[in-house]
Amino acid sequence: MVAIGLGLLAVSGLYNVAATRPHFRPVDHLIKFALRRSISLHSLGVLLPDLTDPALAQLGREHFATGCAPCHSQPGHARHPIARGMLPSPPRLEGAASRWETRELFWIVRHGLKFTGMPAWTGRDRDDEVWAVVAYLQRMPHDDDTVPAREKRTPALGFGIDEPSPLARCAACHGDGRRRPVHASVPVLHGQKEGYLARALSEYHDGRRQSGIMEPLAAVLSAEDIGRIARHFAEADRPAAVARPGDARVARGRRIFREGVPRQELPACRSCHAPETSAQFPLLDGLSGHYVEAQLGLFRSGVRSGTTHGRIMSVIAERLSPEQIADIAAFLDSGGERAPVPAEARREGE
Amino acid sequence: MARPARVLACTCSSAMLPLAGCAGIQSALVPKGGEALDIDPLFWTSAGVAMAVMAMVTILVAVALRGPVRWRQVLSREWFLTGGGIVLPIVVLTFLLVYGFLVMQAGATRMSAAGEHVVTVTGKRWWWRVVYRTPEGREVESANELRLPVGRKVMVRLLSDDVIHSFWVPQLAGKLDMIPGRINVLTLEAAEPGISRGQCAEYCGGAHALMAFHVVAMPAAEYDAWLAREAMPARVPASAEEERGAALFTANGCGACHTIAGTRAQGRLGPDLTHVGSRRSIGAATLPNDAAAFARWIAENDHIKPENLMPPYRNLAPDELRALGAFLDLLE
Amino acid sequence: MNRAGPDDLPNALPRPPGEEEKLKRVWATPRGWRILSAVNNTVVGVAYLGFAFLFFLLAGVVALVMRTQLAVPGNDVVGQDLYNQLFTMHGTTMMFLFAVPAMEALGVLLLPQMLAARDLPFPRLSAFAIWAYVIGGLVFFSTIFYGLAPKGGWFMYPPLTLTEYSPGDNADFWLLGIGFIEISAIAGAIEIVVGTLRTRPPGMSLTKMPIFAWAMLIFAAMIMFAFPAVILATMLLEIERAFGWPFFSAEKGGDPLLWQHLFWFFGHPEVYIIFLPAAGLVSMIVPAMARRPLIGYRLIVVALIGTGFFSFGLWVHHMFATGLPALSLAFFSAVSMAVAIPSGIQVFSWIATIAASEGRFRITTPSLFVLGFLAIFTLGGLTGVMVALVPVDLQVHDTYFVVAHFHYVLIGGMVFPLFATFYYWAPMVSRRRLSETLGRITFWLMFIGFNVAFLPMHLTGLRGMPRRVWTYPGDVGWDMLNMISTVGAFILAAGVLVFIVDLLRNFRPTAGGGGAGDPWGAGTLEWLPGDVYAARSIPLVRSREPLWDQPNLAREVEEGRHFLPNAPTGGRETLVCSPVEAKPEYVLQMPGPGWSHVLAAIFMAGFFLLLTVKLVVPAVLSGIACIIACIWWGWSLDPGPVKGDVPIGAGIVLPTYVSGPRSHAWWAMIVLVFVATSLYIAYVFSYLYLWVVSPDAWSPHGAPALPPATWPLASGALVAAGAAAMLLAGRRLPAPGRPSATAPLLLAFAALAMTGAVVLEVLGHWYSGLRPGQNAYAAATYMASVLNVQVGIAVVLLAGYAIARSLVGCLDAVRRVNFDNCAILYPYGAVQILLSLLLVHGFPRMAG
Repeated sequence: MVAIGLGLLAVSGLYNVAATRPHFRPVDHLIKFALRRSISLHSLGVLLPDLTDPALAQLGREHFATGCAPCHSQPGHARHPIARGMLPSPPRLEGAASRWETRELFWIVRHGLKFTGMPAWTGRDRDDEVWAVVAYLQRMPHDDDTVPAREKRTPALGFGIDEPSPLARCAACHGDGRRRPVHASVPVLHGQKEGYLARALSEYHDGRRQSGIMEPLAAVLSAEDIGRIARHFAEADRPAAVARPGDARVARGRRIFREGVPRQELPACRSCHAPETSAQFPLLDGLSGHYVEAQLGLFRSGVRSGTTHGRIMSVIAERLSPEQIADIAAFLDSGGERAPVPAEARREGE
Repeated sequence: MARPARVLACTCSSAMLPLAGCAGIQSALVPKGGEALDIDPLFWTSAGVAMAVMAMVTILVAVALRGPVRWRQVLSREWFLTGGGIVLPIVVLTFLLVYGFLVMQAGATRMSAAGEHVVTVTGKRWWWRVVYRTPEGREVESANELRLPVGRKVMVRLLSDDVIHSFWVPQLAGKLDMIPGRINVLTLEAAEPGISRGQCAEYCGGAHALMAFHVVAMPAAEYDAWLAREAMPARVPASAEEERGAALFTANGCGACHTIAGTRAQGRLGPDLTHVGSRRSIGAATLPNDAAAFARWIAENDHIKPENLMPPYRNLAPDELRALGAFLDLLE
Repeated sequence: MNRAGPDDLPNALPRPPGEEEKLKRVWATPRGWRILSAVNNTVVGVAYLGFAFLFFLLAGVVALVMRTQLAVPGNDVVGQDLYNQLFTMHGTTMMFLFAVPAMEALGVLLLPQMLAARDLPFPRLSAFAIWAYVIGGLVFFSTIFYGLAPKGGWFMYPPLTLTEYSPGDNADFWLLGIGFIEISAIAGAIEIVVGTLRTRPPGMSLTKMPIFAWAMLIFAAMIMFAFPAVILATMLLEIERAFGWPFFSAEKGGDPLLWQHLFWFFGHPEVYIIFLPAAGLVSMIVPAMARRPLIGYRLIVVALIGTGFFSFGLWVHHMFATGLPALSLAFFSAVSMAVAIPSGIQVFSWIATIAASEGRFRITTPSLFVLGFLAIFTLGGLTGVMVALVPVDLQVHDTYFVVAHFHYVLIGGMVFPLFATFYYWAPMVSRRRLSETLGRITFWLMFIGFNVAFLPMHLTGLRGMPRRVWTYPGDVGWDMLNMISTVGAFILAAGVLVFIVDLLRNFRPTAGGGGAGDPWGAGTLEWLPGDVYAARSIPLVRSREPLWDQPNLAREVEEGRHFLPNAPTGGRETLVCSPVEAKPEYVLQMPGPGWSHVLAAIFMAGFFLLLTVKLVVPAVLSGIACIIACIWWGWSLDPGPVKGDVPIGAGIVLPTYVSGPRSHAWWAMIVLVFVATSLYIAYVFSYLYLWVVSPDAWSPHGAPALPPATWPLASGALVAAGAAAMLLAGRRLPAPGRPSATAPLLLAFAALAMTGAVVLEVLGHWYSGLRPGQNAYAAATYMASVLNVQVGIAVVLLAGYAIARSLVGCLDAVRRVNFDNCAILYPYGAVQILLSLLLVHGFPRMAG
């Protein structure tokens, strides 16, 4: 009976779908209840990583400003009038962390919500990035009510880069050559090879390389923009290495980097990742261990094997064990090739 | 008895299969040297015995089924059982066994006579590293092709450092496994110049089916000259395209895995390419050896030879691949 | 037994009213879905055979896919990775899920009938083995659909199968699949050894036993000695894969060849394990078709034993190309040829029997398959002789010549006899015979298809085509031959298809009841009229072909005039006789249908499967559930002497309960101890072998010094004290009805002592700084403890079980089978532990 009734309602067209007319209250309650239950159930299997790093939240904040704020606004900002006309209206997210479990937040950001306008995360299989946003949501300050509403800035409705110079947006996360990137998962771009930078941006632009943060930013760039940005960073100096004391792990990483592991058919990293090789092969020196570890993980799991270059690296990355990846990361964190080699490691190499 | 038997068998098989002749560069039935020549008559003798016994059993069964009663009575006697089931096999088997031991003995003798000329072949996934020792004691590395001087006994040391492979050139000798942690030694002796094909005979995973090689037997003097050339560094590029290929080779990090003697490329993971252009095949007898095949291999090796350990370089543009192909083809 | 005329038969007529109805009731097969709980050998035997045949079909389809791929050079019907999985699955499924189970199934199905026993001595054990095999086999086979199938070949040579070169679960699924077959094979071996030796009818001395029973007895004995080698090998491989103990890694002192020795020590006898029962079947069918007793019965028995014996001395002929010393090659070459002699004896004996036929040898579908078998198997045997010649083998090893050779031996030697069996024995379990017409079509399609497929392969191999290649070039002369082989394979498959049609049209299983009767006029007891209870009464046997020599036997048996025409204890029972002379000894009470063994099988399958996919916690839960099901299962099995003695006829009164060396349980335990001994010998071989390969790894040079001698001495003293306690406990079992705490306390002490001894041994090495992943020596040293732990767990479980039985008053000086089981295993375990202490602590000191 109910089914027939609903069917008649649908056929008749009597139910008004106008965003100007809110749902009937019972319908509204029912939808919201179903929504909460669905989120709660589906997010059950989500495993929580460590979200205490403030830098991670900082990265999330940077993405939030361009990727989320257009609809949700952000602390100290007013709601965009167009966003106000949406139904359901995108909620302000101050305090969202107290309304939702952390796993639920992750699930919503990762998968989006049907019929609400909330999109899924752009970078397929890039859960690592989603957590940055969740970390930010957890720490999002409450809206500053002391600022009168009319003095608040209203965010632009365009996603991605809206500044006249995209470079400022780059610097916000990637640092400016002296300042390190906002989080270890963000690579240093200064002094990187131009060909590689241009390729990376084009791959983000075309959706061939996955990132929920970079894809929206690169999508709006023209070919000229990409060339300009790549040149800008390539011409800049590589930030000075922060040499840290090495341990056994670093020594093992150095060995892999310089000599490879013949037993595992693993070539030396530096035979391709060196200044004198193809401009398409990025320099690893100066990159954070965290970034390289995460990217090798993406190569191994096939997320980054879709491109021609990614295919090459995937074949190699599959031969690395997780421990060896950690060794390489430790080596890069210790300053990489530019760090002084301790005496005992020199002897070992001889 | 060997020769007539072989002619007979060839006739039989070609009568059965008009299209397939007896010649085959990987056929144990066309022996061209050393051990294979010794095994051949033993094989045909044992095959002849097998056929004779088979014929006898067939006739006996036929008689037992439908023969005259008198004959059948003979067949059902106890002495027939002991004679046919015990005495006959013992006589025939002893004969074959002794013959087999003699052939084994001949192999052992041949092995003790070798020693001067040593080649080390290492089974890899899924190709062959071949290292010659020059008379001066220098090691000269090559891959996926073995050159032999006709008439000389060559000691082939067989190694593996990953999984078990088996080295087999049917026209020259029986197979011998390459086992991690062990060194097996096989003596090869080519009786006449010519080209033969060998293949890995022990399942070694993945691309086992595409792990073959060629054996080129050449007159001893030619061989010596060849080895001397092989010991020299690679040719330098002459044309602009070859230059470009050489530059691409360096820029794309090919030297991480491959060696080209005389250049900075000193990688040891993949085959030595110093004289790759002079070999008969690439990809362990998977593709012919020419510039176009090189280009195909570099970009599409994962389709040509699935699971092989080289990454596919599809990032290279067609003209870049052509240049690389031209460069590699030059390395004779 | 005196000559008895028809009038002095064991039991007189008329039989009491209701006797047969009671038998029917007791032996009734559960109806509907409850049939899953059935244990009757004719029911589970048919199911067993059916599933084995299903795996034959599945592996056959896999073979057709491969043949399609190889039909033309450079084909791409299936890719490299899938092809590698396919040939691994084909070999593994055919060998482990079809051939051995099919032969065991025939043992389960035919043996009790041939021996006129009511059932096998451990009905639930065979049902358990079957369910474990069905579940495990189906899951294992289904991995091919998820790309998870193993791809290391059915022989799984390391290092290719180590995690380094085979990451992923594929290889583990192989180890899982074989684990199930190991368990069901050993369960089957116990069943068959005890069945043939103890449940023969009165008067059927060993010399009157049907050849098939002889073949199965040797088959079971071979399983007892061959399977432990592969059990150990799979344990070593899985331990190296999971924990990195280097048994096979050369750079840490292991040796890949150790696997090959262990695997082929099993693998070659395995071929004869498959062939011997088939030869036994042929020796049953030939006399029936000739209407004349087998000529050379004794010689054939000697030949079967000889084959079994020789088959353990030729495993190295699979390793001629590994570069072993010439002397050992020569030895194994000689033995490999010698094994042809017993086969020759059998072939000539069959020819002689055919020649001696009464009238002419009858050409029926079974005899066609037997003749096909003779032709194909003889050729396979002859190429086997060629391959036994070392130099010839060096050329043809691992080529299509060998593929042709062993398909001649296996299809000829096993599949053709199996089809003969299908046609010959179908009337025994089906209400309708299979069709002679369709049978002949099946035979000719199979015979022609087989030869078209496999004869050219000899040439393909000689022309240099190696095995296990998914593609080949078109210019080396293999293409036409391969195309012919592919066509032949499809003809062969068409033959099997016709058989399936025949099966669907005519096979109507009776679920334990009598079949269509004896259409052949055969002389052996399986053709006695019968029902769910098998033969109405168990006959007194005076010759090898009782139905020929005692013309009234069928009627007498059906009238219930022979032994045990009733169910005196009110439950299922059969007659147990002495092992050689077959004099009646006692009436064995047997369990009927039940669920405990089904659950045990399901949870055991669950345990292994979950472990394979690394779900450890659910796996452990499933394992515990399996143990609980086993305890539930076992609880009813020691009924005690409550039913007293019963008459079976001819004035003979037999006990219904015995313990000690006369009981069937004791025999089963002894078989298990033999299996454990072989396993341990295989381990000692591996230990010494690894030492020969890399003595440098041994303590004290390559590893920390051994713990001080006090450790092993303490450990040895503990286990010796435990053994003494066990002995004492056996003497102090209370009299019935007078419970006492002495025996359970002693039992508990013994169990604890063995646990302590095992733990001490492990701790000693751990504190000396030795770690199992260090090198081959360390791995071999800890492996001794793994085997000891295994026995220790079994002892603790059995002791705990006996204690529990004692606490509820089910264990006393008479009702003591549960205790005896533990009392047999304990001294074995103690000796094994003492030997391993001697080896592990003594050998390095001596050799170092």
